[in-house]
Amino acid sequence: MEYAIELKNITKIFPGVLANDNISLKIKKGEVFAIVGENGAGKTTLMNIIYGLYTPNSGEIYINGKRILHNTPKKAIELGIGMVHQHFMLVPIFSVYENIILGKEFIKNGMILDRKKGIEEVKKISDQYGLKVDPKEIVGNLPVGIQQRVEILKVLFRGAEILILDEPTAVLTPQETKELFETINALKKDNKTILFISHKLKEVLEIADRICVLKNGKVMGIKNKQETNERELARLMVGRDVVLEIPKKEKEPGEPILEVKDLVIMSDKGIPAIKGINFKLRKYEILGIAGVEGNGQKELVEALNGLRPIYSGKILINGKEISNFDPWFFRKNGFAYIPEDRRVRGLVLPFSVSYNLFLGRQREKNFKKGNFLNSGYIKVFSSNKVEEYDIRPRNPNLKVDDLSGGNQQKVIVAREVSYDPDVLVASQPTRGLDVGAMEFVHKKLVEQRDSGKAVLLISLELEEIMMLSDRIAVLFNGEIVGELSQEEATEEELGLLMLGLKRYDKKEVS
Amino acid sequence: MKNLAFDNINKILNWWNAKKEDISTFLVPIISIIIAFFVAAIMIKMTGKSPIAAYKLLFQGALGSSLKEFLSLKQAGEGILKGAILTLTGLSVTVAFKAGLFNIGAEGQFIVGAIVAAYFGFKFNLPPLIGIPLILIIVGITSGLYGAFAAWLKIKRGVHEVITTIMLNWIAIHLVENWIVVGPFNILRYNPQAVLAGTPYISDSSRLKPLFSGTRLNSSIFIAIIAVIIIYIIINKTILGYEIKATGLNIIAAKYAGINTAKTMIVSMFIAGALSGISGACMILGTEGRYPGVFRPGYGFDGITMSLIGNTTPVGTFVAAIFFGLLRAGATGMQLIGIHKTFADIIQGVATIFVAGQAGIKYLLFLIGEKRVVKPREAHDGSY
Repeated sequence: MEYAIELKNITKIFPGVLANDNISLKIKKGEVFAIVGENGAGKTTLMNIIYGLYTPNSGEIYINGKRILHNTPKKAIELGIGMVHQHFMLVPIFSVYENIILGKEFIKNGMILDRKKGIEEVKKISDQYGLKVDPKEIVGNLPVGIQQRVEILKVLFRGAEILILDEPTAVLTPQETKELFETINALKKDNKTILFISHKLKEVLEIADRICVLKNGKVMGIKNKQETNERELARLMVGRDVVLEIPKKEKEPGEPILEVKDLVIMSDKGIPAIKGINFKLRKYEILGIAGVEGNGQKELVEALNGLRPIYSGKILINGKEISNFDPWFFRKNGFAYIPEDRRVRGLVLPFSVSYNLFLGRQREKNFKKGNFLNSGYIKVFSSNKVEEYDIRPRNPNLKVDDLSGGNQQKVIVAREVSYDPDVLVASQPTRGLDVGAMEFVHKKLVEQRDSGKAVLLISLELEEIMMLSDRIAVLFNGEIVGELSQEEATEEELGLLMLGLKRYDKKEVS
Repeated sequence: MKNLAFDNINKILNWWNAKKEDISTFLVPIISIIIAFFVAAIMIKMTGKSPIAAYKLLFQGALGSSLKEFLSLKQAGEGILKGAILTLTGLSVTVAFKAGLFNIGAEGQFIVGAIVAAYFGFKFNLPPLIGIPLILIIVGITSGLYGAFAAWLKIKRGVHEVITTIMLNWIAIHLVENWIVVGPFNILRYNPQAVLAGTPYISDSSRLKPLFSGTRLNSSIFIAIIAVIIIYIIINKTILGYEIKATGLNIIAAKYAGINTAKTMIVSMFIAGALSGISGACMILGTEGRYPGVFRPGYGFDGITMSLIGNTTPVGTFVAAIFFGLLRAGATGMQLIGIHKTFADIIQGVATIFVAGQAGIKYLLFLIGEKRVVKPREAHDGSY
């Protein structure tokens, strides 16, 4: 049988890293083939090899049975390989059809752009695959799900027979994901081959025919969808049993710790991004804030950090109104944070692990000796934390930049939890983390809740919100459009709220 | 045997791969300076002179023509003195750099320090051990505030410090040289018979005296060394240094973690200003004895170079400053065969360019360690 893609013993070495270790794969024509693995498992490297961005150190690539030498993206495109990147490569001020035909424009009379033909062709291809778009719409105005559709059309327009989708659902709502899956099924019917990269096991089990698990650059196994389950895949990925559901202790929420009253926050453009929201967060409770990206989460988190001034309204902690909008004042009053962007907000990358473990606490009694750093205490403190939080490698003097993403996040969690805060604000705390590290962060959040802290979890990952939160508030267009208890919440219902297709009457969310 | 040799090469390569980041921080400035010497040699050759003869004179001019002369510091003293002045302005740039600020204003802070030292050196007639430290403290505070002003503008108004410090340089130069020195603090007001333009001479007790006869080298060098030690300790051992580094390396994370980054920037620019000011004071109290009619020393601008070549560390800045101090003093010697002393500037300039473009040198250095693993077979077997 002729395979769409056949890889034989592909090895790719970066200085000091074995990114792909002797990988052999056979991908059939017309199948949806998923590749899952933790961050750094080598998924993206392998895709870039197929797409011709990297040259393997050894091994052979066959496309449609033909050996490929000196692969380049240009050659890959000619051979019918198309890649839909995680971050879209679209010109936002161009219309849909302009984006699709870009680089393959139709010319009339030798030099004039034939717009009519372009629109026609785009319509034709969008009808053919049932990917509905309005060719004249400006791309920047479209929701993310439709933009992704434009990306897929762009690839199809270039005659792709093999589509590589790199983490396509990372930016989508549940409804949009469903639509994407319909698209994928339609493409499959048309005998297109699809390579689906993801680390979300549920999705992979839903859409893929076969699933390949990578770990440390090696193939750990290739499973048929029918013969496997989430637990098995997770074990292959991480190399040990992973707890997917984290048990919470039965706790009655205590008195409110954080209160937000009629809060209005402006965006960078000076228009309200948060339009008068109210919520209360209590002891022994995780409040999840769900929503599609760009509905005010960023502004809300920054205001709760003290990085962004509030326009009106109040933030109260333990009944005391925050009067000074400076990050140190928030922290002094019992806030701690896990940021969504650990490399920018969470860590000083050129600093050692040890230095990062007490960032912001350097003027506390234990950490200083007069005007000097108390190096003795710092040494003990950081080796304790490295041990306690299983930060690897176990060397607090290592530059934090040299750690993996999961271990970097552990450094942040260790620091923030050691503040012993009243409120822990976790903003997308597992973004970009693999299953193992994710489990760790989730455990720590639940631990905090169980020990009587209040946790505010802001996340775009619905699964995460639904699993951890005691209550879920949905943010849409700067407003809380609904609040559900963990029992009430279904993916369907939350999805409708997130898209603004439904809203509950304005009631005091508490 | 052959295997053994390969093993050893591999061992060296592995060691290099592990250490290359650290080693190249020292290697890059040294290589840059060597390249600079080559470039200058080509230029000397183009003027028809012998580079070897020129460099010999340069060397002798810097250190002395014999070991004995070198050890007596008669010849080298001049270079070390220049080096001391450059160390202080270089440290100024280094401290600001650690906080993520580019202090182009060392020149202005230097001039403010110089005029303040000239004034109090003239007014005070105290015992040297009290008077001189007192002058240095006053200078430190004045120039420190002048430096901190730029940081304050950045925090309050969002103006970039490169813009403000450059503007503050010109404000200082014109206020001092076109007003104070020719107006209210002109020598003619105190001594109508004076011939040379400038401010009146400072009192004898305010002078930094030469350490021994036959040289101008004075205790500026001790002031510079003490400053290097203090700044080293501040940056590496204190809470303030920790906050300065955190702010400089990632201001967002520092702020997020609750560090008062505004205060940190103001304090570091205050220290930077004070160091430049003290450098200017050393120049007045030691070498000039007053603020001359036309000064324009350029030590502030050179401080940027010293800091960059010194890899923006206190000790590195010191080494670079002493090296270039000696080089400039020695360059005077090259004039014997008709090479202008500004050739030292060419060497300094070329070295700076290469240090600034260190990514290129590092790339070449790192190529050494790249192991060539099995290459993909490149045979064309007729397929694609």
